[in-house]
Formats: sequence, structure tokens, C-alpha cells
Amino acid sequence: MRDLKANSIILIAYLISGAASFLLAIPPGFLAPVWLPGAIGLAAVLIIGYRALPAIALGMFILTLPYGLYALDAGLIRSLAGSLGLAAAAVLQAVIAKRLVHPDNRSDLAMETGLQLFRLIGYGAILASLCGAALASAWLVFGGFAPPQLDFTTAMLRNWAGNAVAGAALTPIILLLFASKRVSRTRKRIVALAFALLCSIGIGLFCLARVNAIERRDELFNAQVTEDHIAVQERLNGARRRLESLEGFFAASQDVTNDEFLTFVDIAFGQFDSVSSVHWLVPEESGSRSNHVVLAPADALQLEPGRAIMVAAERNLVSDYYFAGLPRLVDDLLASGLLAASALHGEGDQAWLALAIPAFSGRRVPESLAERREDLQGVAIGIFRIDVILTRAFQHERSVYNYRVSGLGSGGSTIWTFGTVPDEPGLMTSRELPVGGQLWRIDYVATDRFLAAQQDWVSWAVIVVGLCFVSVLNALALLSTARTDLVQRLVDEKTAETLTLSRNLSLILEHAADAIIGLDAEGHGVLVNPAAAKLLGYEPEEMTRRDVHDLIHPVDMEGRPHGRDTCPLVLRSQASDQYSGIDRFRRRDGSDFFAEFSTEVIRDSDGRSLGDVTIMRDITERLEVEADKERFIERLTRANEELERFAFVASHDLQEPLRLISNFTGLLASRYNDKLDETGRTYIHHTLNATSRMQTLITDLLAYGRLNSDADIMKSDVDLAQLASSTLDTLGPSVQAARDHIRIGALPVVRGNSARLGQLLQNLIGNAVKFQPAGQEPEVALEARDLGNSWEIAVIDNGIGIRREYREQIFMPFKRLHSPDSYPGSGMGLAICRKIVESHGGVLTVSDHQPGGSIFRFTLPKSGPDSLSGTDSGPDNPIQ
Amino acid sequence: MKTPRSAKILLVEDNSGDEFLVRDAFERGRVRHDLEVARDGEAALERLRCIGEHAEKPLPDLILLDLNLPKIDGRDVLKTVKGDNSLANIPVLILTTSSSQLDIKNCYALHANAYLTKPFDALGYEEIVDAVESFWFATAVLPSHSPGSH
Repeated sequence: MRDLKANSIILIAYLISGAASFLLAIPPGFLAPVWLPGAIGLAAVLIIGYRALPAIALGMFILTLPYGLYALDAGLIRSLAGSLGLAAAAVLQAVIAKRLVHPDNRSDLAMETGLQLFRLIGYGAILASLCGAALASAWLVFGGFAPPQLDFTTAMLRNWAGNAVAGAALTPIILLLFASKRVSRTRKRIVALAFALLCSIGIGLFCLARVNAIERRDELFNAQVTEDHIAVQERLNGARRRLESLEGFFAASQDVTNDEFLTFVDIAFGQFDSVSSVHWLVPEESGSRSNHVVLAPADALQLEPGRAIMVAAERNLVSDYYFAGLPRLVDDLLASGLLAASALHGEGDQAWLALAIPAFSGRRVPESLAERREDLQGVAIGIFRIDVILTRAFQHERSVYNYRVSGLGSGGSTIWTFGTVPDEPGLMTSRELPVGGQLWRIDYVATDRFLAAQQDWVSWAVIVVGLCFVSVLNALALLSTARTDLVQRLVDEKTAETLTLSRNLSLILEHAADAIIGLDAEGHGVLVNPAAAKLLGYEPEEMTRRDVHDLIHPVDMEGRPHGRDTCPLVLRSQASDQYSGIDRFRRRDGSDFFAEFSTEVIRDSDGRSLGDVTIMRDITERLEVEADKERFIERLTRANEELERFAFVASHDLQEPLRLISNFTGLLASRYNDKLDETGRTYIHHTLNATSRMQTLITDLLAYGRLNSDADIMKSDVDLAQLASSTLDTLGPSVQAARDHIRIGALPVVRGNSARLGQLLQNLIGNAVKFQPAGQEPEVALEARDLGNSWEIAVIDNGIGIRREYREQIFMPFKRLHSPDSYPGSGMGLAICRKIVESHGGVLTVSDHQPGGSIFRFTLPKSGPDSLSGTDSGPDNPIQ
Repeated sequence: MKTPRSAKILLVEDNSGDEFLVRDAFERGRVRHDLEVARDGEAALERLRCIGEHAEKPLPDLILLDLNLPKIDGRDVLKTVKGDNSLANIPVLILTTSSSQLDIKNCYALHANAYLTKPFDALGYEEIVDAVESFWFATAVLPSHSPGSH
């Protein structure tokens, strides 16, 4: 769609400029001295590239087709072929121009540098035009589409000159106006105005020269015609005189023989080669002279008797009436008593004129018809070739004219014509000629050759040299305005940049959340942004031109007064150009706040300090929050440590007396067994059982607590399959008995702590075997599943299962679902398991196994930190 | 099996129950022994340095040391003993309730000669004493000490 629009515009410009070029052609219809469409095509192909080619081809075709059809009258097929060739040549020329000029982008078409102009004019206008002209001229001349008088060299040179001059003069302007957006309006105006002015002058000069030349040419033509027309008249007079001499010849001798007559005719008409035949007629009654009705030898005079048509007065006489009609002619002559003439129309481009002159016996022509008939001695008749009369009369080359002879009847109507002229003759003049009682009109039409010979080199020179001159001035104007344009553009760009920058800077200053304060070299405020004013409680103008150190920074971090020598806001006194830190500042109302700030010295190009800029942010709240947080963490840590130490020490200290109870009760049982009765032994048995259970409880509690205290135990690659298998070996007799029912599937190598993972597996497998309905064979399976980032290990049993409501409770320390009598244990196993899994970054859950039993699943990340992420690392609690 | 002279053993133990059990186990043992007891770390070091009432006493052949002691902790006692040239060659057997790996490693790092955990069952002490007797007083060769050598 865009292409269509662009092509339409190009086509219209092409056609208009083409029509203008034809108008400038000298003479009209000849090759144009300047071929403006060439410039349009060049500009188009440079601006929109090869997309312009359809418009160029179509434009050339439309422009040249009528020329071939009407001006050259070449016929439809030949005209089409000629125009197609020219269109192809125009397209090729455009392609060559584009390749040669090869602009990198539209900016290259702004005609700002000499190089750009050189490429455009040198390559695009001159070189490409040469190629185009050579192609077009070769096609026209060698293809036979050109006017015959046009040779290849002339055609090519004129075509080339017309194209090149138009391209050089016009294309830069078109490109300047339409190709590049960066060309300023001023520059466009200046250059276009200068161009228009120069062109107006050129066109004015051209028109003057042109009018002048045409006048001169017409005058020359008219003068030649006048001269030649007189010559024609004289020629006809000569013919008449020769015929009249026959009268004297016959008057001198009554008996003229045929040979004498021929000799006389030969002498009289010998040099007069337009004559076809000469006759001497005598009245019938003087029959003795009839032998003088003589024809000059037909072959010698190229007359073919019997084929000629004699036209006497207004009547046509066919050859058969040639002699039969003679009396009639004589009658006519006698009637008029004067010279009679008639045109004999032949075939083709030949036509004859018959001149008849009566001879009377007296010197004068008798007045009455009767006397004339009486006195008639004879009639002299000459038949002449009209075309030969004319061409022999013309003193100039025959090719000057095309002519047409017309016989005029009464009232000026044309009775007959001979010869052809173009329908729309370029230059024609008509003259009348009385011939033997008739009036002829001769139309003289200048031939193309005459026009070409007379064409106007002055106006051609005016336009070509003028356009060359325009090109040069153009180039100068383009280059000089480009410089101004460039400077202006730079100024505009820089101004816009500066404006944007200053706008952005002021926006930043206005809306910055941080306080920004600028000081001069004396430490006086010069710039205070709204955030600074708000923070410090001053109006901005209150801080300007005052010592900012005194205003806002009278004390140091600890609140002690300090001098400006050590003030970080006044960096003159500091070794470094840049300072940042945290300090105490004072508001207008006297309250203090803490701010994080950064100060930097601003220096001029000579390194002198112009002052400095400080950016500060109130961090009083942040400091308080941080201090609170630190205090809280400290308290928490201490509490945790105390708690753990308490638990640890408590469980340890509990163990001491328990151990002694166990020891001594044991001694009692072993050494006083025989002194005790059955009841006493039962008591001791229960005591030992209780101490044993309590010991298990305490051991597990210690182990649980130690999971925290040994948080930094290192990880390594652990082969779970191997670990599971070795774990089975360490488990008690119930597990050994069920070993054939424990299936260890494919387990991965994971990253973790071998001892803890061992404990984990030990607890889970132990539980799986332990929590079985009485009498049932345990079936336990270990399976692994790849979850992408982690492994999931499942321990599946067929045991008693866990009801849904207890599934979370079982992971709590000391939580039991059964009495120690039915299923022994401390209630710490799963709590320890969960803690181990969590310290490895995983999750331990339990779910049902159908039809009966439980599935304990735990995940282990595939990659993790190399030390266990235990909960807060407790104090280093050795067991004492 | 019995050695010609009685073996001098220093038991550093604050708990009289344990003292009783250890003493009982040695009474039932095969070795003629002279069991001395120090109730805390300070007393133990005084005894070993032959200070005050211990002036003329010979150094013990073997020390059984609890870790959790009043005044000077058992670990410090161990460190002092093993850091003292005149005492360093006395074998020190740690006898404690703690089964913490940390304690075990620390004690061996301080050149303890053995680490024993206090037993839970009635016959545990007898088994321990039997093992100590058969290793330290029958199998191993101990350095000889002259009384008041420093």
C-alpha cells in the first residue's frame, strides 16, 4: 500500500517532468536537451530503493509510447517494442545509479558533504546516465526505432547530456527536500529558493533564446521559399519562351520537315530536362502542315503516350482524346487568345503540365474570335514534368522542403493536388502561382532535416550550460547550508540535552528521598533539597549562605561539641575528597538524629575546590531497631543456651543417682538373693525394670539434646544401601530374626552425616519390626524415589499402623501410643528421627500402608551445605 | 598373679556410692592393693604433689579419675598431671558417667591412658576392676616411683 502510494507519486512526477522535457525539446519532437524524468528516477531510486522501479518503468513507457505512435508514426508493435526497450534502459540506469551511489542510510542523502555530492552527481547522474544513454540509444538506433537521421553517437551523447544535466541540477534538490528528515526547514527553504531563482532565470533566458531562434529560422525559411518560388516562376516563363520560339521557327519556314523540327526542339529544349514532349499543331485546313503535329521522341522525353491525361482548362482529357481533343484545346486557346495551361496527372509521384500557346499570323492577337480563327498559324504545346520543374528551380537542397501543389478553382477551392505534406507541418508557407489562366498554390513545408540543420544550439547551450551552472551553485549552496545546518542541529541537540539534563537533575533533587545539601568552599549552604529541609526542619533559604556546620553538626557522634576542623561535612580539612559514614546531626528544634551520609568534594578543571555535596539519610530508627534486634537475639541465644544446658545437665545429673540405684539394687539382688523372699525379689525386679526404663529415657533425651549441640558435624557421601545393610547388623535379635523379611531396594548415595543417618534408619527399621501385631511376620521394605532436587526414602511396614489423629503427635519427644509393657521404648525415637531429617534439610512424614501398616517417608536434598544445618548450635556440653 | 607389693591406686571420686562400689570391686579382686581416695580435684593434686599430710607418701601406680569433680574439674586435673614431668608417667584411667564423644576425644587428647564409663548394672564394676587388674597390674609394666621424689 505504501509502495503503491510512493509509486503513484513518482509516476506522476515522472510524467509531468517528462511532458516538460518534451516541451523543451529543440525543435519540438526532437530529443529533449534536458531529460527531467532522469532526475526524478534517480532521486526516487535513492530514496525508496528498488521499490521505485515499477514507477520508473511505467513512466518511461507511457512517455515514449505516443512519440513512437504519432511523431514517428512507427506503428503499434514497433512503438511498443521501442518504449519497452526504453523503459528497460531506464530501470537499468536506476539500478546502476543505486549501486554506484550506494547510500548507507537516508542521512547520506542530506547532501551535507562534498563526498555525498560527488557520489550523487559523479556516479548517480553522470556515470549511470552514460550507461542508461548507451543502452537506450543502442536500442533505438540499432533496433530501428529512431528517426532515420539520428545516428548512435548523436543519440547517445544527447541522451546522456540530457540525463546527466538534469540529474546533476535537480536530484540534489529533490533529495534535500524529500529524502532526509534531518535537513532543517531553513536549509530546505534557502536552497530551494536559490534553485528556483536560478531556474527561473535559466528558463527565461532559454525562452528568449528560443523565440529568437524560431523567428530567425522562420525568416530564413521564408526567404528561401521566396527565392525558390521566383525561380519556379522563371522556370515556367522559360518554358513559355521556348514554346513561343516555335512560332518564329515556323513563321520563318513554311515547310519544316520532321527532322528540322526535332533538331530545333533539341536546341530549344536541350537543357530543359523537365520537358516530356513538344508539339506543333496547325489548323486542319492547312493539311500540308499536319506532318508537323509531331511528338518529340517519346523514349527520349520519357513520355509514355497514351497514358498521359491531358487536362485542358477544367476538363480532363484522357490520352485517347489527346489528338481528338486538340481542336477543342485550340478552340479554347482561340477563345481566350492567350496562353493555356493544364495539368496532366500521372501516376505515383509524377505529374505533368501541358502548356499551349497559339501563334497568329499577325504580330498581335486578333481581337475577335473569327479573326483569331482566321489568323491562327498553329499551336505550340509542351508537356512538362511538374516535379522536375520545381526541383530544378529550387536552389537549395531538395530535402529542405516537402511541397504540395494545388490547382485552385474559382473561389479558392482546391481542384487537384500533387505532392504530400505532413498533417501537422512544423513549418509551412504557401505561395500562389498563376499558370496559363489557372491559379496554383504551392505549400512549402520545412523538412525535419531543415529543422535539424536550423535547430537552435544557442537555446540548447543556454539550458545545458545554465543547468551545469545551476548544479555548481546548487552544490555550493548545499554545502554551505549543510554546515550551518549541522551547527544548528548540534546547537539544538545540545540545548535539548542540557534542558533534559537540568530538568532531570532538578526532578531528582526535588523528589530524592535522601537529603542533599550542597556547600560552597566556605562551608556555606548553596543548595538544599526539600528532603534535606524537611529532615533538618529548616526552610531551604534559611540554610543558604550560612555556616552549615554550625547549624546542623555542632556535636560529634557521642554528643561532644566538635570544631569544624574535624567536621566531615567540610571536606577541605580532610585528606580525602570523599567521605562517608554515620554521624549525629542536629535539627532546628535542637533534637538530634543519626544519619548515614556521604560527602564528596566538587572541583573545577584546575582542581580548586568549589565546595562539596552531602547526601544523608536519617537512620535513627534503623539504628534503634537494629539495637533492639541485637539485644533480642542475644537474650534469645542466652535463654536457649541456658535451656539446653539445663536439659543436658539435668538429664546427666539424673543419670548419676539412677545409676547408683541400679548398681546397688543390682548388688542387693545378686548378693542377698537368698535372704529375700519371693515378694522382695519381685520388688527388686520392678525397681531394676524402672531404673532401666528411666535410663533409656535419659539416654534418649541426651541423644536428642546432643543433636543440637553437635550441629557442625561434617557431611560426606553416604551410600544408603550400604548404610542400611550395616545398620541391620547392629540391631537387636528381633530384627536379626526378621532379616529375611526386610527388603532393601535400590537406594541412592546421598550427602549427609553417616552416623546420624544410620541412627535414623536404625530407629525406623527397628520401629517397623517392633510395632507388629502379635504373631505376625514383619514385612519391611526400603525404597527410594527421585524427586528431582531431592530423594525420597520410604520405609514401609505391615505393622499395626498409626491412626490419623496421632500422626503428628508421634514425632513429639516422649510421646507414646502404647504402654512400655506392650511395646518397649522411650518415646524419643521418632522425635530423634525427625530432628535428624530436618537437620539434613529434609522432611519426615508418615502415612498409611494398605492393607495394613505404615509408610515413613523422608526426603534428603541432593545438594546442600557441607555441614548439617542443625538448629541453633548450643554450648559445647560435655557429659560429665 | 599377685604382685609382690600392693598396688597403690588413687581414686579421685566425689560420690561415696561410687567409691564404695569401686572399693568393693577391688576387695573382690585378685590384686593386693592400697586404695586412696581424693574427694575433689584440689585434694587429688595436693596428694599427687605430696603437699602437707601427704609429704612422705609415695606416688600412686594408677589414677582412677572422675571428670565431674568439685573445685578443680577432672579435665584440669588430667591436664595438670600430664603436664607435670614428675607425674606424667602415672597411668590415668578416666572413670566417668559421660559417654559423650567430645569428652572421650578430649581426654585422649590430654593423654589419658584409658576411658571407662561407669557401669549401670550391679556387676559392671567387678568386670571393670577385673579388666584393670589383669591389664595394668598383670600384663603391663608400670614405671617405679620413689616416695617424695620431687
